[in-house]
Amino acid sequence: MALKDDIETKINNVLSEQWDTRDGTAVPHDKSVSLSNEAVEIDATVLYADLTDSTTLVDSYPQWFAAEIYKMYLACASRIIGNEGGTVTAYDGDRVMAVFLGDYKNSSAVKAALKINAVVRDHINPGIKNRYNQHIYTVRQTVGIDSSKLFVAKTGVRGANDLVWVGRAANYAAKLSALSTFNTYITHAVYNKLSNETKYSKGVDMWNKRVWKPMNDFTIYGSNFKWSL
Amino acid sequence: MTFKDDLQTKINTIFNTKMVTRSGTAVPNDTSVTLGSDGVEIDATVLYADLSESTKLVDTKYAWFAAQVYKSYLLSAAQIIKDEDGEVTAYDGDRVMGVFVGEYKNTHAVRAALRINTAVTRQINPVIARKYGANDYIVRHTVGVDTSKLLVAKTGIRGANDLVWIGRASNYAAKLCNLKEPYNIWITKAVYDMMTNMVKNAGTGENMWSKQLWTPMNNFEIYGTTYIWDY
Repeated sequence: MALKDDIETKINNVLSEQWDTRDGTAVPHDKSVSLSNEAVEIDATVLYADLTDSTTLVDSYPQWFAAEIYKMYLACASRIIGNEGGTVTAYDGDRVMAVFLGDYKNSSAVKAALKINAVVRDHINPGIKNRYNQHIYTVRQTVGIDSSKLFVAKTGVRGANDLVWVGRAANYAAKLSALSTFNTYITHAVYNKLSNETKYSKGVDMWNKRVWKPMNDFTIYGSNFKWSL
Repeated sequence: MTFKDDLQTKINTIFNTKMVTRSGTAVPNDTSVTLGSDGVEIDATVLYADLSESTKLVDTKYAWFAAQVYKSYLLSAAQIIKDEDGEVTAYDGDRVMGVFVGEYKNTHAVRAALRINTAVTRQINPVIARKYGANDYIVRHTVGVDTSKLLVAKTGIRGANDLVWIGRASNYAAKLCNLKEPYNIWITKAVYDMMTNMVKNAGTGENMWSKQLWTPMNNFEIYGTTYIWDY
């Protein structure tokens, strides 16, 4: 079959099949979602952790140095996410996407974000300084978190990891990680569900309320606090 | 070993291991790059294809409809990338990344971009219009293409697909996708200068591409088009 017809057939199939939606309580993986129009619906919290200024890093430093930064950041973020009960669902260049489920999904995702901030400030940046005996580069990063219902479906292109995560949380978390004043940004949906330990530090609210202008004045919260490992 | 120490060890190891870089001519896969500080260096052209307004789609339409749009777009883009001898190297939400190597990597990548445009305008949107009415929803997208040397290294987290692609082309191709109309395919000068006339001139002979300056990126020279590839 010609590529055009093949694509046409596939598009038609996608657009014409009825969705068979089931509720999920575990993070779906590519074998638990079937290839046709099956989708899994879950209440989930999505976290995006994004290296800031990676273009400057790549443009102005040797590639192997940029590679070290990427590797450390992605490895540490993933390790912390796993440790807080989240699942890493995608890598793409300089960012990592993770999904958290269950009763404490918001507090766990926020704890992961604060710990990623601690790793960068207390471990990675001092590590770079020690290794090169001078200040040559400071890693900066932003984590974005939102919570909503997600619709998880298979795209059917590659064998593994080809799920699409459709829902507000996936979009907003990614967009929040592109903001820059604070190291962690969360939506009010996440803030309203936080445990006291992830909301307050020594009795003081760690979060600053902001209005997200380009997103219809959506209420978001930002913080530069860290959670030491 | 505590979690903290374990992490510190990993960080130290990364910094204390000298990166071994080898040159590659094929798109590396996760088994061809080893876990330490091994890196493969390749001359590559990177394509990012990105669904526009996916937040609005998700906010205003049923999730199942949004999923249909995502699936048909990602699937079309991925199939076309493969058909142009590219490799799909990452999916992330509403976008797909492809890498092209070899003598005609720029021509292949640009033709893939034009063909993805064809799939959206001739194949996806007509089906949506037929099924849900002409004005219900129109899929929009942007494709960005750049070429440079890339260093491919393993992050060491998951079994599969955990490579990082470091170099200008990865960053610029992704950033080009954030540009708005009037064009929806954007390529850098490096790509434009290397591609063949086949993807430079339309069937009628005129140049399909419009030269622009990328203001936020130090006036880097880029080219935009809205043409499709009539296959």
